Amino acid sequence: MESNRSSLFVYYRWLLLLLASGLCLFPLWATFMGGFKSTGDLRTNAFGLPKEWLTDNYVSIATSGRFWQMLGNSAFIAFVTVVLTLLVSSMAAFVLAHLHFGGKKWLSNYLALGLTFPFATAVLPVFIRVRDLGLLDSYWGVILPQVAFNLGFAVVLLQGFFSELPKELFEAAFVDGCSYTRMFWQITLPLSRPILATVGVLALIGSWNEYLLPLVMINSETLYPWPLGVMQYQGQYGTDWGKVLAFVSLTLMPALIFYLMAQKQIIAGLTAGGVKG
Amino acid sequence: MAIATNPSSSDPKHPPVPTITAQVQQDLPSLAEARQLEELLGARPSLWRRLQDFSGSSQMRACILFLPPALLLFTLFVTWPVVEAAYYSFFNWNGYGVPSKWIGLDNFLRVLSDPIFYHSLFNNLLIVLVSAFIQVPMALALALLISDKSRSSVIFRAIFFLPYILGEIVAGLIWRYIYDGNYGVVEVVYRWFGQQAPEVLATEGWATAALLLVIVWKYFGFHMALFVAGRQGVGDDVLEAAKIDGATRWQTTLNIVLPLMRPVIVLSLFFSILGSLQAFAIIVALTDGGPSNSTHSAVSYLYNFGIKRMRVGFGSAIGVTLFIICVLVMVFYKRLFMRSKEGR
Repeated sequence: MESNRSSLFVYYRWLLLLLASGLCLFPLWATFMGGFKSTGDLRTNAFGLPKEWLTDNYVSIATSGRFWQMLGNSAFIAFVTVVLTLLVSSMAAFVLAHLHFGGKKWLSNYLALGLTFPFATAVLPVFIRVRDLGLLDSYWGVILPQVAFNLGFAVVLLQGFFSELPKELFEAAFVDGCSYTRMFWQITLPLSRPILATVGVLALIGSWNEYLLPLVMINSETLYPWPLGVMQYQGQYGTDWGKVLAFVSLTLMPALIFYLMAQKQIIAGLTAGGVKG
Repeated sequence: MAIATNPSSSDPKHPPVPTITAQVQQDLPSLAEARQLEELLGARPSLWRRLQDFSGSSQMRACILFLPPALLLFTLFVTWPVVEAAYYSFFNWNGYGVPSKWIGLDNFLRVLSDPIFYHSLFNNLLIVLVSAFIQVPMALALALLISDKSRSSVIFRAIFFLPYILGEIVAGLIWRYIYDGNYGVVEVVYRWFGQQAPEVLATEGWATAALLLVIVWKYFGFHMALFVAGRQGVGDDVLEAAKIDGATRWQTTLNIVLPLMRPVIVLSLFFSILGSLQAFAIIVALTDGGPSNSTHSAVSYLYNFGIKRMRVGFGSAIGVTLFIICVLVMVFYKRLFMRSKEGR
């Protein structure tokens, strides 16, 4: 009887999981297929394969300069954001983890403040600050606030990891006359690849998908990252869903490819980031 | 407890401090000796002494090189703007020149008397409730089914997590298509039954429900991944023991696994609250706050009525109100549920 119940459990488990996967993936399937469908086909045949595979939508978008430009903009902003976030936060975390001085605790708590409220609450003053610095309508107007807002979680995660590195290494290096700056580059950073990857992935995905900040800071279409570009495209073509779905499908490709390549690390990184942050 | 573990002052192994200090003063030791002694005695060196040691050391160089970028960026773009928002919120200001039209608490009164603002906050609450009562239990159940290391479980996890990494804009637009009453999937389904599909996103109530469904779709994978990590943290030996004692799968889950996973559940709800307070792009892409401003969240309200119209004073007042709500919610939640965090 036990094995009977057990096989029933297995059966229901598979049923439930397949159903949930279907609900999870169906919207994406409908989107990819929608890009190939004619308007009439879309109206009557939302679920199946296209009756006729129209590639015009995909081809015309993939060959347009506008599409590649906005992916390029997003990639540049995300790349610089990740590099700066890692550099600035790991330097600060190193000092906070390894050096002892008065007010250290206060400083870590100060940086951890960034975890307690959403960026949007202060976005107007940030806009004015960026404008006064003359960085409005430039990549830097997006990058710098993004890096600043990443510092909260990044420093918390890195500091936690750094302070658990074996003390003996640093003592030995100190005795050998190694400066703290060199310890940072030659001991701390090489030993911290896993946590740097975690912080990097968090910063990368956050920046790649960010909408509010570029919306506020960027005016020129040539500087639009993809979330702004795709909203503009949708505004232009409205319910010409074939076009819009093709555009959406193509913009989510980079994230999808990245996810398929490093799916395990991404899930581990994003959840570990959550748990420890 | 801290007092009990401390060596008491009458401990014979630690001779009374004053006599040794007196000895040291008598012998007029060298500076190095004095420092050594001080260290031995565990005395705190004077501030001047510490500064002397500190300056010119590679410690200080590291501090001077490493700390300022973070502190500068953080202050410039995170903390100081919050202070500025508090200041601007007392003005009627369009962002040009300097704020000069002081209007006291008028902005706050306008925010707090705006029914749309309350409706937006109510939507935030709805998101949290749906997350707590639908999304989190669902994610937990699925997580318990696929927390083992088998190939199929890994694949299912990857599938469920996928919507989470997509941009909110993409999620919003995809579902905008699905809900579309003329072209979308919903329309096709209704036609199977010979019915006219409702304009989901143009009908109050329906639009909110639609938004909530999209949020569940996009974020349950993240909660599931948290739970999988939490479930894998529960030691197998405990479960082995339960099995030997004849506990059924259901009993084990209910009485052993779930209580042990409490910290993760608390954390997951914490993220729901945090996420709800940040919900913005998904709303813009799906409904843009409509119909008749019924699907705004706090942040999309802030964007629509403050930022979009460059009403800096009013927008700042919304921001400050939101900031206070966030801090209160976080502090309360942490006090209430996250006390046991150290014990993890």
